[in-house]
This record gives sequence, structure tokens and C-alpha cells, in this order.
Amino acid sequence: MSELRLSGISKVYPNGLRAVSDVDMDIADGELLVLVGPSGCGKSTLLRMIAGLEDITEGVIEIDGRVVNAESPRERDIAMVFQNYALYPHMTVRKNIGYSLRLGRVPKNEATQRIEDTAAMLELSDLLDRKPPALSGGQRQRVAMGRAIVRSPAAFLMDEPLSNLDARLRVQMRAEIIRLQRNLGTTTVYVTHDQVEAMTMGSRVAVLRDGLLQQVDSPQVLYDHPDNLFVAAFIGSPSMNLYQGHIESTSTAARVVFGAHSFPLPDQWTQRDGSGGDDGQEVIVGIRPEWLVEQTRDNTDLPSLRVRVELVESLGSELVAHTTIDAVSVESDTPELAEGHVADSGGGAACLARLSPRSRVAVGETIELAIDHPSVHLFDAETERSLRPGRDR
Amino acid sequence: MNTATSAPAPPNRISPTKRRIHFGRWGVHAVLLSYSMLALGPTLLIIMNSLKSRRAIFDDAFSLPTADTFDLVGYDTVLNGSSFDVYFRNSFIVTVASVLLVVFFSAMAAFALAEYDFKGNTLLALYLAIGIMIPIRLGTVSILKLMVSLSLINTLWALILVYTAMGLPLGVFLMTQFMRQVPRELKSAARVDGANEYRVFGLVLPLVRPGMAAVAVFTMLPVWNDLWFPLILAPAENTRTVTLGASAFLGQFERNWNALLAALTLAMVPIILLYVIFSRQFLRGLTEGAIK
Ligand SMILES: Nc1ncnc2c1ncn2[C@@H]1O[C@H](COP(=O)(O)OP(=O)(O)O)[C@@H](O)[C@H]1O
Ligand SMILES: [Mg+2]
Repeated sequence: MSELRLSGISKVYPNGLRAVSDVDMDIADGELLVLVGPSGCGKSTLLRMIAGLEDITEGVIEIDGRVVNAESPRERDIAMVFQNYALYPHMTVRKNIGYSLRLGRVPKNEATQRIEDTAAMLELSDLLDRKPPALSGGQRQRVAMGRAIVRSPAAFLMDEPLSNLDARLRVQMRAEIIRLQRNLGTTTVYVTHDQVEAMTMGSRVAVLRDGLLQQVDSPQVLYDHPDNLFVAAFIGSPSMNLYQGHIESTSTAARVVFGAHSFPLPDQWTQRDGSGGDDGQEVIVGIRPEWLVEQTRDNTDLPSLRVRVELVESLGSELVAHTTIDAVSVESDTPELAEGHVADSGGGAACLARLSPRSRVAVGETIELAIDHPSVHLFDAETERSLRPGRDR
Repeated sequence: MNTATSAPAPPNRISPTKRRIHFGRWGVHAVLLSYSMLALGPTLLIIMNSLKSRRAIFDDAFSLPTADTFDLVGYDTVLNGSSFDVYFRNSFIVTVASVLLVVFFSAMAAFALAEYDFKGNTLLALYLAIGIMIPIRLGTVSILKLMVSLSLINTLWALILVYTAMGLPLGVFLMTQFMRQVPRELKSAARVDGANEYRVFGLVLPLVRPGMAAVAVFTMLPVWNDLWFPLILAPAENTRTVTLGASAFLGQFERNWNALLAALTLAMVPIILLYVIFSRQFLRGLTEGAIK
């Protein structure tokens, strides 16, 4: 059990590639922190630095206040679970799990006991004498977990431990890892490139992009109040609709204009002194698919958006309408974002809406959608930072 | 009726492909068989003639020994008339020691080359690879001088050291390829589990067993068969190897063919045994899928 503290951590590889830049992060004792980001953003590099497998170019890593920069992995007492499990292929499950105990000169009786307890916890008792090639993916994954758990280390580091499993097993193992982590109360850094996994697992989620930490907060805050365009686009599925726009403000009112559409600048985006945004300020408008609803008698007060329905996906509990609107969408560099969008057809910008399953929209129709405009996000077109005022951080 | 005529058609359509596969397989076998004959022919000739009388060897070298021509005089000369037991022991010690040293040191060097990022890594690997292309015999004179000044002439150590040097370049090269195939995360996992670098090396060794077996086979054959260095560095009676001992039957004025062939036949036995042992290891390593 330990507290981890990273201050100003950077990594420059010998080939000059800057994989991690100036990351500050505190992980409390017993906390499960999820580190999420698209692949290649430096998650593994950061984790390997914490484990002591990679030299730290700049910055300080502390475990319980002890600077560990110069310590070898064995001195740091941290366990790591790898993406491809990295089981020792020529050793039985028993030996795989017990390897660290053997190296740590744990007395034989105690080691046997601990291996068996761990195996029981992970339902591996019947497999102890098998070798990894004779195990299924899920079983290998559990052996990898067992190898970490048996040591009772200061912290767990997990590098995309579930990404090699099929979807169903992944959901099951996810729950199991959360349960184990709670029971053991071991400080954990969990890495994933899957934002859904990040949102469901972490009490706190850190979003990393190109080696730079974007935002660290609870899943709900990341979703509701993303600090910048990247976080907004990365978190949420289907992802946020993003359009180029600007603010038109007069002395009495301010409106957000994007393409042929506009809505009043919601109160929350106005400055503390009550003034609106600057007239003509370039912004990026972010609308989550669930903030678009069909216009009914109850919401005529909401601004509306005229869309053309291109495709309707019925998911049972909801209905995702792929539509186009008259505006210019903002391309984000995240692949996750690109996936959610239908290619622009007929000059319009793609717009996703999550509608009620009872909705009767038909392909080819032009309909009016109401925007839940107080929820809408605005980002500075230049800095891509959220324009939300009054949030101190 | 219609169906009856069309039914047999599919097998007909399939058979040409089948025939091609058959032919391909036969072709491969023909090539392999003729190569085996070429390689085994001389060996069989040696074994066959070692069992015949001197006259019979010269009358018809290509016939099998019969009751008339069967003669073990060669073996008698070799086993009773000379100190071939000593030669065998020498060859065995030199070969096994050189193979062990080459395998061990190439594995260590290869681990360092494959695992660590240090200045001059590539240069060092290249330098070692050059040794594959330059025959060590070019340095015989210097090696001889060195051995003289080290007082190692006429010791088995002289041979073991030279053969170790001779085998290392190819050994390091091969082992580096095998070491590179060991997943990085496996070594990381071992380090996180508390292994120091020696332990990590120890953990990796069983995973590169096929590589070690390959290196052993490649090292073993030239060492066992070498005549050059035993002749120059250790020609004394008590340090002679089998090859050198056998060459003694090729005297300047008289050649004892029976003894020579018997000695060569006997010399094959241990090397074939060693080969079988190492190649088993090689195959076992491959089939176990040690590296996943
Ligand atoms: N040993 C290395 N040498 C040079 N570049 C590396 C090395 N390891 C990773 N990188 C690079 O660093 C970046 C971050 O990699 P990584 O930490 O593995 O990303 P992630 O785990 O988030 O997918 C990538 O661009 C990758 O190519
Ligand atoms: Mg990674």
C-alpha cells in the first residue's frame, strides 16, 4: 500500500522521440487511477518509468515520499501486468505465480500457501500444474494477475491487461479486477486505450495525449466539463458532434452561430461580469448526441436544428440517427472520433443524435431536432481549451 | 439421367490438382534422396570397406563385405595397436569443452547485444560478424606464437581456446537472432518480479534452446573434424585427436587403408551421437513453441 507521486515526468527516447512530457500526477493510497489515451500517446512508457523499466529523462517519481528514480524494479516493489501477459512459457502456472517469491527468498511453506491462496482467489487452483501454452486467453490473463497479486506489492501497474480478450470476457474480467482491487486495497494504475473501459473502471481518470496529460478527474467531470477539445472528443460514445462557429454578441444578447444554425449563448458560458463572449470570436461548438432530441410540444422553447436523416441505427434501448446539417464539422485527430462520424454527404456536416427508441424518424426525412443548448460545450478555436468561465483549476 | 451423368464429374475435375501435388511431392523426394545418396555414399563406402580385407578393398571397393572378404584387421590395428582410446578421449574433451564454451559465451554476448542499448552496440555486432567471414587459420602463425609464449603447446587447452574463438562469431550471430525473438515484455516481467540481470539471462536461456542447439551443431562438426590445429598446436602423442591419429595411418611411404578406414568409421560414431542429442533438443525446442 502506497502513495505514488509523479512530478514533471518526461521521457525522451534515445532516438529523440519525446514520448512523455512533463506529467504531474498523484495517486492516493489504495486508489485505482485509470490512464487513458489513444495508442502511441505514451501510456506504456509512463507505466514502464513508474515500474523502473525505463530511465526517467526528467522529473521525480516518489513512492510514499521516497524518491525512486535510481531504484531498480526489484527495489521499488511494484507489480506489473502486461498486455500480452508475458507469462514464462516454460514454467507451470505454479512456478509463474511463485517466481517472484522464489527470487525474494520467501520460505517454501509460506510461498506454497500464498500461491495456493492466490490461485483460489482467481479460480486457478485446478490449473496450477499446466503450462501457459495450454491455457485459454482468459486463464492466462488471470495467471498474469496472480503473479502480481501474490507478491502483495506496493502498487499494481496494469498495461491494457484486457485488450487481448474478446468483448464478453473483457466485461467480466473488468468487473473482477475492480472487485480484486477493492478487496486488496492496493494502489493501482490501470492503462487502457478504450475510453469506455476507462469510464467504467476509474474513480479518477487521467487522459493522456501525445505524452501530455490533458485532464485528471472523475469520469462524470470529464464527461460534463472537459477542459479541452481533445478530452471532449475522446470521452463519450458515440462521440461529441463538433462544428466550427463564432459568437455574435450585441449589447443585449449573445448568440452562438454555426453554419446555418444558431442558439442563444447559455448563461453558463457568459463571463462572471455578465458580458457575453467577444463579438466574432471563433469557437468550436460541441454537442453530444444525447443533447439532441426530437422537437415536441414540451420543448418548443429550445432552439431547433434542421437535419436530414441519412441512416438510423436501432440499438433497442436507443436509436442513433446519423444525420447531416448545414455546418462545417471539426476533424479531430483521434481515430475514436472519426469512427463515430458518417462521411460528409452532400455538403453537410455529419451530426449524430441519440433519440428515443420510439421515435419514428425515417431515412431521407428532414426533421427538426431540439438542442439542449445549456449543455452545449464551447471551445476556443485557437487554443482548443474550454471557454467555460469560472472553473478554477 | 441428367444427374447420373453429371455426378462423377467433380472427382474428375479435382484430380489434376491432386496429380500435381503428387508430382510435387515426388519431385521433392527425388531431390532429397539424390542429395542424401551423394552425402551418404562416401560414408557408406568407408564403413563398408573398413570391414574388408586389404585385397578386397582394392579388388572391388564398391562391393559389400562377404564371408570371404570380411576382415576386422583394421579395427584390430586401431584398437589394439595404437592409443586410439587416448585420441578419442582428447577429441571428446576438446569438442565438448569448445561447444559448451561457445554456446555459453555466445548466449551471453548475444543477450547483451540484443537487450542493451549501449554506444557502439551495432559496431560491436558487426565486428563480431566479420569473424564469420575471415577464417581463423589465417592467424595460425600468430596463434602458434601466442600458444608458445603461453606454454600451451601440446595441451588440450590450446585447442579448446582456439576452437572457442573459431566458433564464437557464428555463435554470437545466430544467438543474437534468437535472443531478439524473446518478447521484451517477458524480460520486463522478470525484472518487475525482482530478477537481476543474471536471473533474466537465466530465464531467457531455456527459451532460446533451439538456438543453442543450432550453435552447438554448427560448432561441433568443424571442431571434431579439424586436422589443422591439432597438427600444429598439439601433435604430441598424448594430446592427439582422432583425426590426427587417423592421419598417422596415411604414412609417407605406406598407407594402412584398413586401419585408416576403421579409424574413420569409429570417429563417426561419437559425432553422430552428439548430433542426435543436440538435434533432438533443437526439435523439442521448436515443437514446444518455447517462444510465443
Ligand atoms: N524503446 C523505444 N524507443 C523509441 N521510441 C519508442 C520506444 N518505445 C516506444 N516508443 C515510442 O513512444 C511513443 C509512445 O509509445 P507507448 O508508450 O508504447 O504508447 P502507448 O502505450 O500509449 O500506446 C510511440 O510513438 C512509440 O513509437
Ligand atoms: Mg502501450
